[in-house]
Parts: sequence; C-alpha cells; structure tokens
Amino acid sequence: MGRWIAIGKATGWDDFDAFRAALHATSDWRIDRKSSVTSVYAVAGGQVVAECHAPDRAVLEAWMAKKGIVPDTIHEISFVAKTGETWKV
Amino acid sequence: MSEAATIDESVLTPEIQALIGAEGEKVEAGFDWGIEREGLRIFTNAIMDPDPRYFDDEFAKTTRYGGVIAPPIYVTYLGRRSAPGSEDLVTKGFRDNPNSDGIGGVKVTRGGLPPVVTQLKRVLNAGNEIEVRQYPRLGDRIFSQSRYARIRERITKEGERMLIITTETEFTNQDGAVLCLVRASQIRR
Amino acid sequence: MTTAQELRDKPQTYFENIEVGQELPPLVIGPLTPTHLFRWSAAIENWHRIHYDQAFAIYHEGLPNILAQGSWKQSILPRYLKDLCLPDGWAWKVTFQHRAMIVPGDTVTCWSRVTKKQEIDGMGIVHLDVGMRLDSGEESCPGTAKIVLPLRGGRAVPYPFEPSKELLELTEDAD
Repeated sequence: MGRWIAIGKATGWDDFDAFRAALHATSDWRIDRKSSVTSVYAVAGGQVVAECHAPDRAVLEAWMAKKGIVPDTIHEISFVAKTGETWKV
Repeated sequence: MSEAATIDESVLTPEIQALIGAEGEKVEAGFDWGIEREGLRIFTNAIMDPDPRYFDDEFAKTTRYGGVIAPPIYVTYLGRRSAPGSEDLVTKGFRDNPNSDGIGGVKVTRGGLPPVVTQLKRVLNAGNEIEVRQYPRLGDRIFSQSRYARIRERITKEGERMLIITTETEFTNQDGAVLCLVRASQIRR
Repeated sequence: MTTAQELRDKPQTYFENIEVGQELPPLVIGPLTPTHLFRWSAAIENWHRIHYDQAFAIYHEGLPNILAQGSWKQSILPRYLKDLCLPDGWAWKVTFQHRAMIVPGDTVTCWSRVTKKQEIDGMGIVHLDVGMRLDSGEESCPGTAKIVLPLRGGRAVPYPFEPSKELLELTEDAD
C-alpha cells in the first residue's frame, strides 16, 4: 500500500457546489475496499491536489481520469504532519 | 505466521481440550450503584433508540416488565468504565506511548480466561452471538463470567487444521438471573 | 427515524402474519457523521482513536476514514430486532460477523428476511437472515437471528425467556 499526492487540472471545481457534488458521497472518494482519496484541495487557477491511499498509483490515475482531472504530477508521500502530529506513511 | 499443521497432527491437543468449560472469575461488571438512569439515557441516545420502556416510568409500568428496563446489550459495556478515583489510563497510555491508539493503556484484567496455547498464531474473528433472556432493570448490579464454551478443530479442503474457539460470557444480576449471553468465536490458524 | 410514540403504539406482529421469504420492515440509520461515532465512543468509553481521530485512522492505520464501531453495529442489530418484536415478542438471539467498514457519510439499512418458521410449545419461532447494508449495496454485518412471536389468541411469549433443552435442540442451526 502507498500514499500518493497528485496535482492536476480540473474544470468546474472553482464552484463550491460543483466541487461538493463531485466529491461528497462515499462512492466518490472511496474507490474500493483498499483505496481511498482522502483529501482533495481545489486551488487557484483550476488546479486540484488529491491525496490517495491505494495499493498502486494507477488506482489514483484511474480515479483522476474518471473525475476528469488531467494530472500534472504524482508524487509518493513519505511523511505527513497535521496540526503537530506527524506520521510516516 | 505459523506453518499450517498437516492433516496428521491434531491441533486440538489434550491441553487445549482440557480448557473446554474452563471459567474465569465471576466479577462485577459495573459499579455497585447498579444500572442508573443517566448512563442508560446516554447509551440509548447513542444507539438512537427512543423506546419509552427505557425512560418513561408511567408507560413502562403498563408493560409486562412493570418498570423501566435497559437494553440487554447495555450490560456488556459496563466493564469498560474507569472507576472514579482510579489512575487515568488514557493519560498513562499516551505517556507510555505517544503514538498510543487510545486504548493501549486500558487493559481488561479481571475475569480473564487462561490462554489457549497453540502453534496457530493467526487470529481471525469468526463471528459473535448475543442471546437475550431478560431485561436489566434500574438498580440491577451486573456480574459477568466467561468460559470456553466450545473449542473444536476443523480441517479445510486444503488439509489445513484450525481451531475454532467460542468464548461465552454470561451476564447476571444480583439475584443470579441470567440477563444475556455473549458468545464470541475466534479462528486460530 | 422511529419515535417514542410509535414504539408505544406499535401493534403486535403475530406469527401467522409473516411468511417464509418475507422481508420484514427495515430500519434505516444515517447518513452517519463523525459526531454519531464520537457519541457512541463516549457513551461506552471506547477511546480507540480509529473511531474519532481522523488523522490517526488515515495516516497511522491506513484506513479510509474514522470507522463506525463494531460494538455500535452489534448494539443496533438487537435494537432493530427488538423493535420488530414489540410489544410482546422476544428478540431471542442474533449472530453476526463484521464485514464492510462503515464510515461517516454512509447510510445503513438494517434488514431481515424470514427463512424458517417453527411453532414450538405454543410459541412462534421465526428464523431470520439479517444484516446491515450500506447504500453502496455492500453488506456490513451479515448474520442470522431467532425471534419469538406470539400466536394470535395463543399464550404469551414467556418472560424471562429461558429456553428449554428441547427448544434449543429443535431450533439449533446446522454447523
């Protein structure tokens, strides 16, 4: 299992309601029993940042394709810090 | 992971067979003030059950139970509670291990059963059963006692031997009335 | 959501009124939120972080999110069966296994289907397949149950419910 973060371009997700509609339901982010897109950030300029836990980065790539996100880069995550707590992932 | 036992070697050893029926100590599962309304209110809200049998004295008197009752499963959670004035096990747990999962410091030590000593190291949950006999009532003191109800061996199609261990915990009140039984089955392979 | 008044007024379902193969009324709960999970953890003093600490659940345990507690599931199923039996039936036994994880956002449907009926000693023993199904269709808690319903005009279901050896033998499931 690995954790990846992808940066890409999406259309329409600069509107919050559209963003929510695309990502709110469990089926939108829970890809399968092992794989989940646990965070998505919509940032300026139509870009999105998506974080995924999956056995293979191809799972994230497929999810992005399904959501109409054109990937720029995908990186494997090593460490995470969240509000002072740190994790080796 | 242990090597799977071959079909010629039973894993239900005489030592393990001797554990069938072994009982742990009977312990008081809750506190000596018994089942009370506030704990019951918090519990029934958390399972989103608005049943008036659990709080409405006037209505409960008209039922066959004659008074307010508690969900039988409620008694199975009383043993988790920290006694007032006891060591703060949450703080201790994180002091001992900053990456604690939150329950590492909280260990159930009373009423335990002797371990099943086996070469089969993999543990899988094989399911639970809850049998209900009687509703607990306000003021009931709750006691629990566990035993190995059943330990049997199974051989898979591939010839692998495994143990299925069923632990039964009986919950009674101060009069010895059986309220419910919880049976947890575990596979060792 | 069921109300207290509905449970006060619930009419009895009699043994004769159900058929093998019939699906009994479901209980729908959700969508669940982190607050529901937190409330349950607090109610039973279960401090396992996977149920309320999202960062721990995701980054330490590799889970998709915080998870609904198995203990919550095993309290909801008896509650569901109890409601089906009200006012004077008895939700005698339930068995279950934990399968699909439940996360915030999920809606859970408790369901039951009659698989067998037995009239024993004036009591209506109803065997059920039961479960807790997610809106994805996945089964989270498959199991079986035995409830006891009165026969119309028959004797009251005994209380306390202390099954005789004969009843246990006659209703035993095959291994």
